[in-house]
This record gives sequence, C-alpha cells and structure tokens, in this order.
Amino acid sequence: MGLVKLTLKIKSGVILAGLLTLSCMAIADTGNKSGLDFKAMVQQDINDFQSYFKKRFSQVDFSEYKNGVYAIDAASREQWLEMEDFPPYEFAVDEGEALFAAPFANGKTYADCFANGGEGIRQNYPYFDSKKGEVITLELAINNCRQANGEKPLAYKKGPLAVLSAYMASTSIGNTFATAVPDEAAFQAYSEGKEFFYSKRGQLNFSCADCHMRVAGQKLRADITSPALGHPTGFPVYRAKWEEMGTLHRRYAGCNKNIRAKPLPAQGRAYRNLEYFQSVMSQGLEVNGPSSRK
Amino acid sequence: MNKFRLLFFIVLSIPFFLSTSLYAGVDINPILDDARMTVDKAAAKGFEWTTTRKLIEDAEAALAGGDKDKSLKLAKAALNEAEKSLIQANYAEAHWQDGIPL
Repeated sequence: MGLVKLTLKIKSGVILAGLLTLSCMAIADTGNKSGLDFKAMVQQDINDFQSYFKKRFSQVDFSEYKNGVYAIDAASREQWLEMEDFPPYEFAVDEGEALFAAPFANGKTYADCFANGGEGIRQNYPYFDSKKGEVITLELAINNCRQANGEKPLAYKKGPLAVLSAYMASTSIGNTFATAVPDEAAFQAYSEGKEFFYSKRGQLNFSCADCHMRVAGQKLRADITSPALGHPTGFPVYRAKWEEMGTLHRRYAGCNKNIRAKPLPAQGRAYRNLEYFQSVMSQGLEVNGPSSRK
Repeated sequence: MNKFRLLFFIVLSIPFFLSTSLYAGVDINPILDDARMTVDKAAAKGFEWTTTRKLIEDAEAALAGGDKDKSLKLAKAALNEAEKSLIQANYAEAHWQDGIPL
C-alpha cells in the first residue's frame, strides 16, 4: 500500500514538473511575462490591416502603397509622375548629403553614429530600443548623434533635419520595411500607437483611421485622402503646400490641426509610437523617400 | 383699465431691464478657472482642441475690457468645449477599439 502511494506521489510529481516545464517553454517562446502571444497578435493586426486595403482597392498592387494617394487615384498619379520628372526634393537630397558629410566640431560625422555609415538604413527606423525602453525614429537618432558629439539638436519638423533625413532615405530606396515588435515593452509602445491611430480626437471628432481607412480615396474638401498603408515609406516629403521638405511628424501635426486637435510635440512619445505602429502595419513595403506630395 | 395695462407692461418689461444687471452679478472667474482646469486635464491626455484656449483668452480680454456679457458667453463656450474634449478623451480610452474598421 505504502509502495503504491509512493509511486503515485512520484508520478504526480513527474506530471507536475512536466507541466511546469511546458508552461515555461510556452512563456519563453512568446517572450513575455504576461503570457500574451503578442507576436501573433501583431501579425494578426498586420494581416487584417493589409487585407482591409487589398479588399478596398482590389485593383491596386500591394507594392504600390509606398506611393501614398498616387497608388489609388489615377488623376493625382498622372500629375505626380509629371512632377517626378524634375523632383522638387532633389535639392534637399544634395543639401542633406553635404550636411551628412560635414564634420562636427569634434571631427566626427553622422556616419560614425550609424550602422553601415548611415547608408541604406532608413528601413530599420523606427525601432524599439529595449535598453532605453522607447521607440527610436530616424530623426531622433540623428539628433541623438548630434548631442552625443556635443552639437545642439535640430528642430524636428523641417529644415536641416528634414534634409538630412531625406538624404539618408534616398540611400535606402528599394529596401524593405520589416519593423519588428521584439518584446513586451515594444508591444506596449506599439499598442499605444495603435490606440492613437484609432482614437477620435479634435473638435471634428475624427481618428486617423476615419480619414485614412474608412474614407481613403474619397474627397475631403478638395483633397483625396491617402491610404494609411504605406504612410511612413515616402517620408520626408516635399509638399507643394509647404513649399519645402517636412518630416512625418510635421504631417502628423498638420493632420491633427485639420481636425482641430492640438498637435502633440514632434518626436514626443505619442507621435513616435504612432509612427512605430504605422511602420509595423507597412511591413513588406519598400522605402520610397524622399518623395513629393500635394 | 389703463392703469392695469400700464402695470402689466411694466411687470413684463422688468426681466429685460434686469437681464444686464443679472449678468453683472455673475462671477465669471470661477467659470474661467473651471475651463482652464478642464482643458489642462484634456491636454494631459493628449486630447486638447485647438479652439478652447483661444475662447478662454477672448473671455479674459472681454472681462478685462468690462464687457461681462460677452465674457460670460465666451467663458461658458470655453468650459463647454473643455468638458467635451475631456469626455472625448475618456471615451477614447475606454472605447478606442470601436474605431477599428475591420
């Protein structure tokens, strides 16, 4: 009888240990403490998001979404292609190249701060820096580089930073975005960006999704709204309205103003997380910046 | 009969004469304080509207210029906007998933 009890105890001990091992393996596999399989959740989001546009604009090839509204509106595309004969951002790229090569006071250059000397790396931004616990965009990385070399940071919406970003993007054209959500902290930043994207705000009570998903391709006053898929791929852009280059966060601020929501700080946490979410959704598209927009 | 008519019209006109003095008695500053506090709460959540602080500034200017009637209207409008933006923020926090068109 005692032997039977001992055997049962050993058996149940083995089963318990087995279950514990299995659950540990499951947690290790998903890479998080909460037990949420966030990688699967993000992949599901990407599939749903991209499918939405594939259904909505079934004639449009996926790779075309890097061209913004010009992917879905033939008339606008025609004008844009004519503009691209003499790209208005060309001078900005040249200016950016000169700035990129100019040494800081300490003799170092931007190339010293980036992988591959800063060439062909646009698609790697934004990324989640797990050590710092925050999203790092290309523009933030440029300013981090400046500050690390004893230089003052540049303004985030336009000017020298936009042309530097334009030059770096120009060396990356054709490279594919594969923005990852590597861990639970990254998933938190991604989720905040997602929440921002779908939250209605401003006096007009619009969300990003209202204009760039629900009514994408339709007219809001005189403009046709662009699809959200591929939004980050073409930035920075030369906008006819601005008559100069501007960064993605400048555009975010403009969008917020349009719906009478007070813009949030460029390169603040909210806009960086929004860019992160949008970049994850645009996985598989090529870098197409700098580019021109209306 | 004429006396009664006269009395009737006098009584009827009292509210019109009183209306300006009624506004004059209202303290607008607490309404402005409330509007400022509420818009700050909405701003902290990232949901401030572009128009609200301008209404507060205009209300302050009207008050400083002695136009209490205008100031009161603007202050009320500012408070109304601030409250709506805060409601919007709180609603978005709880229901943003409803905005996913998938």
